[in-house]
Amino acid sequence: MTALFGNRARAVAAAALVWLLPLPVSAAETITLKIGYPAGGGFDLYGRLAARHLGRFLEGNPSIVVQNVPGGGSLKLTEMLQDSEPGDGSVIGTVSPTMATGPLLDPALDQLRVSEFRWIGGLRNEASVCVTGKNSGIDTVDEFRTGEFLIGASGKASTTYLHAALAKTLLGARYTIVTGFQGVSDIDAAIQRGEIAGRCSASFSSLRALGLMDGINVIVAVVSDDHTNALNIPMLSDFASSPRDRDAAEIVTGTLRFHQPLLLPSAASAEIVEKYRAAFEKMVADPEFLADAERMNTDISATSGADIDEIVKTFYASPPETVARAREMIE
Amino acid sequence: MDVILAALAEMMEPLRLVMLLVGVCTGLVIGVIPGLGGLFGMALLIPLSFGLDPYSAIALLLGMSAVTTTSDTIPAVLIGVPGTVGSMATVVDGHALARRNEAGRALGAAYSASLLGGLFGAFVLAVSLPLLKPLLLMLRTPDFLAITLLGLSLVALLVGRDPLKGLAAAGIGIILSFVGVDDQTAAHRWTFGQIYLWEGLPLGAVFLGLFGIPEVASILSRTAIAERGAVAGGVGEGIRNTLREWRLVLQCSGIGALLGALPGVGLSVVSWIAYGFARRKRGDGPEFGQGNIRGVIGPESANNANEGGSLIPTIALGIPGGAGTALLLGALIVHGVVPGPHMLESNAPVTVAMIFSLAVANVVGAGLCLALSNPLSRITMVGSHIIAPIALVFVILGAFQSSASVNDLVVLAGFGVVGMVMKARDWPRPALALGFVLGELVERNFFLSWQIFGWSTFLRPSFLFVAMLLAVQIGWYLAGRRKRGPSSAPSKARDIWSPASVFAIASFILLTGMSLPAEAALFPSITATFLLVIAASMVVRGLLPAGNTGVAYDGAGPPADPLITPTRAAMVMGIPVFVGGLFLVGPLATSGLIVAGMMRWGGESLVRSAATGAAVALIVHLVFDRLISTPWPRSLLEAAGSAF
Repeated sequence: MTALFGNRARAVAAAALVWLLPLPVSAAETITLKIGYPAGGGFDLYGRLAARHLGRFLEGNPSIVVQNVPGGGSLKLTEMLQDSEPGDGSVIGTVSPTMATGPLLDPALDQLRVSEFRWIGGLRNEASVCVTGKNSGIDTVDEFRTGEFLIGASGKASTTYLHAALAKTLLGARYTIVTGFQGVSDIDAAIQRGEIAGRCSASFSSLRALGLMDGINVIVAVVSDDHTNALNIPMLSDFASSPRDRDAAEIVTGTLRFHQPLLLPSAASAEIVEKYRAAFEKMVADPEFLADAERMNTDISATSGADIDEIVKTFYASPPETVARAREMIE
Repeated sequence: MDVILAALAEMMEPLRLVMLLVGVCTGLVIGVIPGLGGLFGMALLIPLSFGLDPYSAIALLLGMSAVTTTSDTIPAVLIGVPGTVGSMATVVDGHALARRNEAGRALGAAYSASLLGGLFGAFVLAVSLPLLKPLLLMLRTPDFLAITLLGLSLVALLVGRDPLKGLAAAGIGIILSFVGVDDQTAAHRWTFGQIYLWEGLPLGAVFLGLFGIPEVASILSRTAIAERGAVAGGVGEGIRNTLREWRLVLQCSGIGALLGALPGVGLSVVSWIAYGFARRKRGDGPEFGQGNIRGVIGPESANNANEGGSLIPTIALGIPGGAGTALLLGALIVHGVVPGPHMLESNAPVTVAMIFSLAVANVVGAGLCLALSNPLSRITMVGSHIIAPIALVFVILGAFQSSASVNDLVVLAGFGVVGMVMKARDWPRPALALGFVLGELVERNFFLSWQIFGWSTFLRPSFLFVAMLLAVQIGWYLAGRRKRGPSSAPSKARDIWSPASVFAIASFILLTGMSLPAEAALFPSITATFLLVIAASMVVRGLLPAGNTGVAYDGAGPPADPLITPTRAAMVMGIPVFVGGLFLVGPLATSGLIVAGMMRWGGESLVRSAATGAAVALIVHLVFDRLISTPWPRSLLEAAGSAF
């Protein structure tokens, strides 16, 4: 070992120790963006996109590091943001927008205090569709309504299950929902193998970006946008048998209007929320950000934090019988 | 042919070769650091790849991911701490070889096996892309269930000298894999109100505790890693061993590539299955666990071949097999390369570039590691009071990367204790590891198969084949046992604690499982019932007169170690000390002070201890702050610093 430690090396090492001792380990100029899903999915993609740009519009141009905190379809991170994460602006998160309607639709999520959520903004107004594999022989809405086949879903709390259940109720369909797939990739693989016929909660823009349109039939739009309308894809809400059913369906699917949302911990002050909202607005209008998004084949159609507050308020202003019907639809 | 030549010409561009080299070097560094892995490297490099052309991006990303499973062998062999989940199985015999001062041989065998495995994986990718797509589309969920059950059956090969303990360890591993939120019912299984446990126990922290902590404690109890003087051979002999075991290399590479192509089967599963496969034959080496070179060659050839296999569904179907390939898929799309059928048509040059990158990265990675093998193997002669604290610091920091939570360190300490007890009482940790990585996968595939195929699940040819194989395996074991007679000498002491522990765990699962929905409780209850049978068998065996037992605690087996030794206590206490330091002065100073303090305690001079401590702190800063940006908790020192 002696050879490893010459006098000069000792001096350098000692100086390094002196330098390192007081070094701040979590520099104030670093912000952590926590993503409620594992690496690789849509939330990860959009979260990392925002992490690359948002810092440019915040005071001091902080760098933003990404941390994946998967758990319970982002429920874990939602609870962390609500209860334990610091409100000093050093942590922001991205979670499923369905957390906003969690307590309305699932009594087990009563612990979520949605009115305290500090929305920064949503990156996408998402069109979501039900699809079948071309090999399934289910090509039209009528066949989708009357046939007996299998639709794949991941966990029972996931949108793959909720949207499939909603479509089944509104369409009066007869398909069976298979739960337990590890993620949408596994469901898509099972569709390609012909084990199941299709799935719901498919992001229309992602299907196009991933080049999957050749192998699938887009059956019905659970949430439509200009692209789905242009292709005359039937809207699920048109199949609702009453205005109350339509409103109830809106509670289940309306959160997709602010998909891939960013939010601050509930402890954040109004001042910090405003700073982040202003930075978000500048970011989504920034040509460099939009060019980066386009390069990644990702659609940006932002919703402001204030607008999200308003949308969420309308859900909670729904009559109790509409909420009860919404719950019934996704059982 | 023109396509291949054109793609190769593209890849020979200097910038692309440089990117490949940058990727390889990054992958080698990531592989050496416990707790990090290819997925982390992918997330780190993808933003950098956006500014590159598609070929350079592929060279960078695949160059990195191809070699993390090459360099992860370095800490696995030298210190007994796996660098990534892919080298967990390598630890068992690789580190035993290092203790026999045959580290050079182990590293030589590992790198040459990695190289051949990696090349085999690239070859499989090249020739099987057109063929494997229809095969992948022919497989059904019950086939995945059959394959995972076959993997689980390899537990029989990992049970060690005492089959009952081995089976109990595997059962406990399976039960541990059920911790978390159940996908079928959304029920919380043994999460004890902790959000931290919703996604299950973190693989990295569990395995670093189970294997890393006991090995580091063991190093500290000796003067150096190597227990005896120089042994002839070294790296060259390791390479010759690999070449002599070419059949095993091909078989395990095949296992790695095939399992890599299946959904949900991760690197940890692949390495343990390959290790179990290698253990079928002892060859002319010592017993497995005592430094059998086949135990290194098998998993090392499989984990490098895995990378090529995992790319098959990504390229052919456009569907990623795991999180790492999902990130790669995203990166390819950014570069305008859409995986799927076009990868063999209009995008064929890109596919060739990927195969080329994989092959060259494996050659360069293994070459660099081989060149460093001899100097690295000398680490085994360095004093344990220097190596052990450095290893402990990196094990703790590696475990912290699981979810950047202090809970990771609680899991590390808990499984560190479990690992030490298992080691001291001769319980086979590999059996627990295999149960842990496969338990949840078997359950998931069963429920999916049941919903899709019902009773037909059990009539699939693959399922019938596996059932037949298992029956033959059990029959062969029983017949051999009758012929051999009782397998070993009587127990020298009545072991009450083993059946009592197994009984307690099984009863706890059965009782607490009663409040779960039936589907969520099914697999845990079956496993717990199996454990009760094992516990009863242990009791019966203990009551039988000496000579009729099936277990050796003396004679063939090593004597039981004392459970609590000063070094073991120091290792376990090192973790709370680190946590305390983390909150008081932060990770850098804590790392430096622990290393310096333990070196000084071991008799090293003050200056040398301080210098080494500073160097470790500097490395921790460069890797965990600059490279990774680890979100550490805020320390008192930092808070005081910002207050003034």
